[in-house]
Amino acid sequence: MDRFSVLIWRDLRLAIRSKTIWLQSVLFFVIFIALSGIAMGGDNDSLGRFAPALIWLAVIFALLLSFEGLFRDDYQDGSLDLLKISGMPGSTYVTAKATAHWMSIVLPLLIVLPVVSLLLGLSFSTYAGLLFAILLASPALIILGSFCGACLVGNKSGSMLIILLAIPLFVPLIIFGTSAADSYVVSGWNAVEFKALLGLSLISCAIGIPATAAALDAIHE
Amino acid sequence: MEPNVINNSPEQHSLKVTDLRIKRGSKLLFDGTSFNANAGDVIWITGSNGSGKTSLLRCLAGLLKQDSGTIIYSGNATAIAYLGHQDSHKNDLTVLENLEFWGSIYQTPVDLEKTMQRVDIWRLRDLKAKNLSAGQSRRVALARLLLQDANIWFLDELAAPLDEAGRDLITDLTSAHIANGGVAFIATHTIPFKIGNNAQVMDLGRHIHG
Repeated sequence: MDRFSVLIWRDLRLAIRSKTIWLQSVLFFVIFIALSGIAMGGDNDSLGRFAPALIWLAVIFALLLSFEGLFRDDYQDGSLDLLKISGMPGSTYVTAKATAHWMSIVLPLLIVLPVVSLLLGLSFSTYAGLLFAILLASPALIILGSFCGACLVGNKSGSMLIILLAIPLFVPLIIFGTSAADSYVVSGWNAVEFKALLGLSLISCAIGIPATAAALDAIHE
Repeated sequence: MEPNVINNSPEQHSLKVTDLRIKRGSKLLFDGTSFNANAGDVIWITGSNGSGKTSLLRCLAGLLKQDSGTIIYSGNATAIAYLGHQDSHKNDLTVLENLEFWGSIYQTPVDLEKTMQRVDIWRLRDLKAKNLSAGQSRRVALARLLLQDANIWFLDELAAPLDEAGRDLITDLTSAHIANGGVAFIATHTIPFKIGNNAQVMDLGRHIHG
């Protein structure tokens, strides 16, 4: 196996064994939705109208909580130093970490999404639009969050600051993401929001991966 | 200040440090430090707490940027290995899984099982890293060091958690390493002893600037 896949495999194995990483996000996601349903009085009409927004918020918050731990362990136990000495390029490391993070955080959320959509009484087409929107936006969410996590790795009040740093970066994704679900019902895959989300993801990867690698490199200065 | 020249032999240098200046916060740790290290050298770095042993090793290993000065690796000194205070194992992985991971990262032809037997941890292979004692954990880190197959070793307080046999093991491994033309930098609190024919001591106690 090449170094990229070895790193992904290690992180996935750690995530499966420790459980806290993905379980925390899934639980948060489901509880957020369930409580929102209760808070809105369980009225199907208003729930249906706000469901895409609620699901998007739940996804964003579930993700925000996870970025603090992304580079923390490797930084604290010295693995980051060793990987740097091994000559592994920073962007390879970041891409592998982000991919593993996507698999261990976003994937479980996507798996429970149908259940949550049923809970909120979403129509199938709204669900499909939402799923597609989250899929398209998730690379941007993960990379932007990784960048914030890398900037604040080792910082004692990091978790709070990561949220403050990431929220403004996430705003465009939330705007296009919530309206994508509705647009899908009207115009299908041609909805302009999907193109916007894809564009945002591509830009975020192109800029975010080297920026994250640079932020991690700056720890050594 | 006078540059601290600890080895000026004319042979091919593996590592040449010139006018090194390292600052940590407002404290100047080194200024104008120059030295060379050649194949077969063991360089002990001693000094009181805070004298900059770790900073020097991290700087030489490329983990800390110097304020000025140059560090040049030459000859076949391409691969470096750094073993710091931390063992850097993942607690939820077994000893074997941890080492397999690093083996795949380093991509060297070193045999994993033989290496693990050499540092006497083959019997611990299925134990999770979190269940290791401090000394066993250090031995696993030693195995990782060997997997890296590097020319230059930077060892920081390596022997601290190890028992008598563990310390002998380090001496044996280091002897074999320098006999193969390697270089070892060893930072320690304890009294350095002779390994190989070119053991030198670099005392940082003299380098402290307020």
